[in-house]
Amino acid sequence: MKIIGVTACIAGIAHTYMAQAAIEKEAKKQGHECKIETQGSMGNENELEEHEIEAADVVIIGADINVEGIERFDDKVVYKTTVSECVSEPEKVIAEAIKLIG
Amino acid sequence: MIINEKLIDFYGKFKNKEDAIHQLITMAKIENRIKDVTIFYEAVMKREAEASTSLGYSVAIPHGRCDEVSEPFVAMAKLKEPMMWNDKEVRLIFLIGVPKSSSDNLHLKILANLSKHLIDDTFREVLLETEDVQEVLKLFSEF
Repeated sequence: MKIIGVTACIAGIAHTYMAQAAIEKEAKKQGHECKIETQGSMGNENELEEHEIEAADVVIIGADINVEGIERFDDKVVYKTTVSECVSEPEKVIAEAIKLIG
Repeated sequence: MIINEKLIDFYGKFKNKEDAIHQLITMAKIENRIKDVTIFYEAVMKREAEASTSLGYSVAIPHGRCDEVSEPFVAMAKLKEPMMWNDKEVRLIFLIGVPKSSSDNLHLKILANLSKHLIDDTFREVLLETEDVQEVLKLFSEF
């Protein structure tokens, strides 16, 4: 499975990056390809390329604020959740996202 | 440096979350990282009220992003006995302070890297088990 996503928390200092690491670690453990863009205090990093969005099976949005460029995912299957869910329960988040593709 | 040996407490013992935040702020004040202690404390507590800063992994990261911070910092406490931080048990606390207008990418990068590493079980074990402040400082210098 190819999983992509975006994480963004209010302060953009810590939890955005914890969420990214938690999702990427869990996805890797399950044998998925995964790339998570962070929208935090340093701006947007690890930005998703057009071809990566194209190839993705599912998009995870873990955000407590509005995500920039959300329209990039208009044609994709998107699972929306919070930053805290991504950090605390990455396994559940990935399971729910995959459930959406059926 | 974002952290130094005076911003590290290996033997933290706190009555509760408020007490922990208060003591860590005091450490930061002594190191001249913040201007007004009360205003900074309120900023941290306001953030804490929006959502708990402990999301598992035995870690809490209370933080304040406001202009009472004169120099970005991390103050760290290790607890011999775990304590409750809202509904989660914590053994490591990192209080983070960043000026509101900061575009200081060097410090923000260190904080982002610290956050990512906290997900890693081995990294947390090293922090929990070490008795050597220099080892902690070395980890930070590698971010």
